Amino acid sequence: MTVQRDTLSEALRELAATSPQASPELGARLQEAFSQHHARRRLRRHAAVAAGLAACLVTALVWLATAKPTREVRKLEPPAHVAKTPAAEEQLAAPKLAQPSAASVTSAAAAKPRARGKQPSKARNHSVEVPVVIAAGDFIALPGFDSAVALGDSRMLRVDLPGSALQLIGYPIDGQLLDRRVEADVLVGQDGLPYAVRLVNARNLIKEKQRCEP
Amino acid sequence: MAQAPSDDVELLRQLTKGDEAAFHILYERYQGSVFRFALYMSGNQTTAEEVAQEVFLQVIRNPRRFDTAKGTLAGYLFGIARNLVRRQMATSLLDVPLGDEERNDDSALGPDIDVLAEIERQERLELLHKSLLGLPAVYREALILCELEEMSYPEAAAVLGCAEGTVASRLHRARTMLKSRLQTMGCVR
Repeated sequence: MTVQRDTLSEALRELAATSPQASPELGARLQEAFSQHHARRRLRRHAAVAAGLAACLVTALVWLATAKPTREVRKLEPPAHVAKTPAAEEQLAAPKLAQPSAASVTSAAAAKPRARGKQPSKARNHSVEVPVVIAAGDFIALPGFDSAVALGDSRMLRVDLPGSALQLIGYPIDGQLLDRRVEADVLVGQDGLPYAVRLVNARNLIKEKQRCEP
Repeated sequence: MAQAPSDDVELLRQLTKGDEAAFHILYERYQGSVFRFALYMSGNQTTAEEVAQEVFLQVIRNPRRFDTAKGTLAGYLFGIARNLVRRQMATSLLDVPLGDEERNDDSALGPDIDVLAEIERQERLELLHKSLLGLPAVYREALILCELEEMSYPEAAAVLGCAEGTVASRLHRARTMLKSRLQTMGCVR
């Protein structure tokens, strides 16, 4: 039985050894198919990379075209219920800023780089809307501000302003907050005139305002 | 069949990257056995060539389909070939003996060869071939994989998608049937 089995196995192996082979053309065809397949893959990969780079380039160009660095500051009109009188403007601009107390004014030199560093990035939104709420950290142009005049070598002073003065500028402050003194940064131009104001702790003020409101 | 699997995996990895030399090595390594399997299963050389081509095209198109956890690369290739042959057999009823296929091994006949012995050998192989093709497909594939391709039972079981015991029993049955056929033809006493 074993002998017969071995003989059969040997015969089958002999059959396998003498079997016809696939034609050499098959090998050549498959090799060509392999080359073409990978050439197409490489092409697709390169096209995808090129498309990605082109998309990045277009995005960068669009961003550069739209994001012009500017030092524009937002102009805020006083609310309708506040009378816009020359006296009110004088009260805001002249006395409080001309002679700030030593304690309330921080070093202009120290505050200056901060103001310069922050302005351009925020300026993108400034010309879009006129806010009627307390803006957190944004400079608000004073009524006397002329956008045609270059700010040049401006300085920033930190002062305490009464809530009523802020209301004159256009901040929606009323009630108990009118008597409160609020810390603010005032941007003073080369000519010594104040151009813009921003609240230092606007978020706290918003919270207090919300608390005061019924 | 006794290739190190890790070598095959490395070859496939290179092939995936587009290395033509890797494909050439892989083709040379497996084309013979894949073609032979398709030939003895279909009984038709043209079909066998088409099946072999399709097997390697599938490897070219999607080499990542091979999962090392599921078996060897040889098993994977035979599995594809088996499915293709079955499909071919189901559609075109190509499960016929290879009787008319020409086996021109004349170049192997040297001047010192006993011509009568050689003719007898070729006739014997021809009969064996015919008997093999006359076996039912399930037994034939077990015999081809285990005897002609010298696969182990686990490898054959992975290709055929059945248990090792099933392979063993099919193989035993295939041998018995083959011997019986050969006896009928007067080849075995």
